[in-house]
Amino acid sequence: MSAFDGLATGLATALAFHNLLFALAGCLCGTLIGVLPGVGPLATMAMLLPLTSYFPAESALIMLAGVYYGAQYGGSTTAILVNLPGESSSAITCIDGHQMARAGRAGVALTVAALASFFAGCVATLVIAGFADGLSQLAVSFKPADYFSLIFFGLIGATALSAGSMTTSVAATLIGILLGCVGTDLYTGIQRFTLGIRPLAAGIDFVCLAIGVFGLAEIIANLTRGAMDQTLLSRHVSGQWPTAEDWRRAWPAALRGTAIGSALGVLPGGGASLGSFAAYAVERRITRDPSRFGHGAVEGVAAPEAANNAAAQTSFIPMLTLGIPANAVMAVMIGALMIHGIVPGPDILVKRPDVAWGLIASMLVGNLMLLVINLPLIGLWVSLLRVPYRVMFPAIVLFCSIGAFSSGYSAFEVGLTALLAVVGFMLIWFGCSPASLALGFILGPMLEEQFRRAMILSRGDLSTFFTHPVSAVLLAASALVSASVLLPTLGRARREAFADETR
Amino acid sequence: MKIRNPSDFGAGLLITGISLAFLVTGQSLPQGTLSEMGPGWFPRHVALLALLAGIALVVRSLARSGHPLPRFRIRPLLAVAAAVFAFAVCINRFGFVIAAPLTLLIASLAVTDTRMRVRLLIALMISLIAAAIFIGALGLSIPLWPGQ
Repeated sequence: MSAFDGLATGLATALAFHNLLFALAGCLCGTLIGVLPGVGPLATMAMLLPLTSYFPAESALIMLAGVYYGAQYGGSTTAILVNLPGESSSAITCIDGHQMARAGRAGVALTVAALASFFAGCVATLVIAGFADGLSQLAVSFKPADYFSLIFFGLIGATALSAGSMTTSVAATLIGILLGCVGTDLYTGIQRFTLGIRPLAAGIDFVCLAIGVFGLAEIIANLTRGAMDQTLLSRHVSGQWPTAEDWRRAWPAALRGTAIGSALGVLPGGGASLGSFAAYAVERRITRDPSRFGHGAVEGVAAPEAANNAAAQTSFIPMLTLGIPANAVMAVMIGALMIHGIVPGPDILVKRPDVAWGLIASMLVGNLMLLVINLPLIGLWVSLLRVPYRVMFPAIVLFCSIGAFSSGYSAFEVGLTALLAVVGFMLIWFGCSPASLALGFILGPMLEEQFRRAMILSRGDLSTFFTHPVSAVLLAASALVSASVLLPTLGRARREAFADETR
Repeated sequence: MKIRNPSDFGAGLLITGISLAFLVTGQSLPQGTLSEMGPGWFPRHVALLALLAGIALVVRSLARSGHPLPRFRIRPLLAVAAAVFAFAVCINRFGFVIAAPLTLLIASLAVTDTRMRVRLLIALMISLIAAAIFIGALGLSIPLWPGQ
């Protein structure tokens, strides 16, 4: 199916009345949690996951996706007005956006952010449509060995790009893979690591893990850090149209941000945050007058806001075409597919074009909705920021408990979620990335299955991973990626050791 | 020996502990051979790698200095975990009308700067809203009353 036919099919699905409602619900929910600091799209999507089992598959995905890219819009509002990142991907927007707000140009900053996000969102949707077909045809010819190496590459890439040291992220990923092994072995039916607890025979529910690690553990971490209440800069904010000078500066920046975000979103471990940081760095480097940055440069809002929205959307490409999540958000999307009995893989575009293309097309619709939600209704969202965190977090804890319970109506799973929250908090506290853990958890079973299939096919010959060309290339790429991360670390380590001696 | 990077040290211990737990509990699983892998082969090797990473982190924490750990407070951790546990224990026995306010109340103990009357008020209000949304509007079959 060509991209054009695909989009046409998709629009028919996305424009169905009930799907418009689901897109609107997702976008509203996304904007809401985007505006509120301390609640991320991941935790929200995890909480909504059990609910989506009542909807048709395409509606579930349309709504969850709306939460993710809606959060990118909402996050910028908080960044600009309160100087707090509503979302981590908006952290960089704080720098210049908040300076614009302090100079009385909050309205301009908000308008630029929303328009840049809208533009980027539309372009990224077309990028997805263009990529989808080609990549999935490539992946259909993959053998188990190739798949193993692809997943391996995805995991290595994700650990390389995550914050913190590579060793820590690798360790977190491995723990995630181990947690994914809990349950009944598919080949032999033997129970693994269930300790005789019957509900564990089906494995640890991804909803429990996601709610525990991203919802509850985040709350504990926020509370332990303290100081979550914010002071609003100004009470009355309205949309304010940018001047001709702003336009002239903003649109090329938005264009560059879109390009950078679209490219980085596709990478394993990529996504909204990476895109926005890279786009800001590029703007600072190519401008003629870097001193303007940090003092309310409009490019410093347009570029990262375009980039985070573009990246949020193109990070769907690996999931839709290869069946492999590039980041933890996509892992939740895979979870939603699995709830509906759809096995993610390269054939999803052929088997369920309504789901895949409906999702892609809904992004066009959703971005348009978000523009309306965010520009004229900005005052509504701003008033939300006055709700203090100490009132809000007990509600989030309750919603998390309800979410964990409703996924299987099992009290055991709520208890398991609490346990995973404690483990997740400890990981966060010691600087491990919970996203790596979740990615390992989702990809671990796929990794094991492909590994075992490849070993059966090759009769236990490990060289099969190097004799299959696709697999060999992917493994070489993995080695290259890890080397590029490890070498500068080694260099820095040596320098640090040296600095210690001279001190 | 001095711990020069408490973050790495803590992470290392945690990861060493978890991987050891998996190695011990997975001991009895059939390993099989490479061409005919048993259910124990893959997790065992992953656990060994994780053990290696954990030990590497501990060793590194002694060799290379890093940031001190951020300030730790036990209160939020205990309150949030206990709140969710309370929900797990109460929901099937006493229903949503008991479980939800209790969860909210325990969770609100994570911070100290709220008066008890305010906590109770917040707990009741949010319970009502949550019941309206999740049970009323969305129709989740969560037991509402005790013994349901």
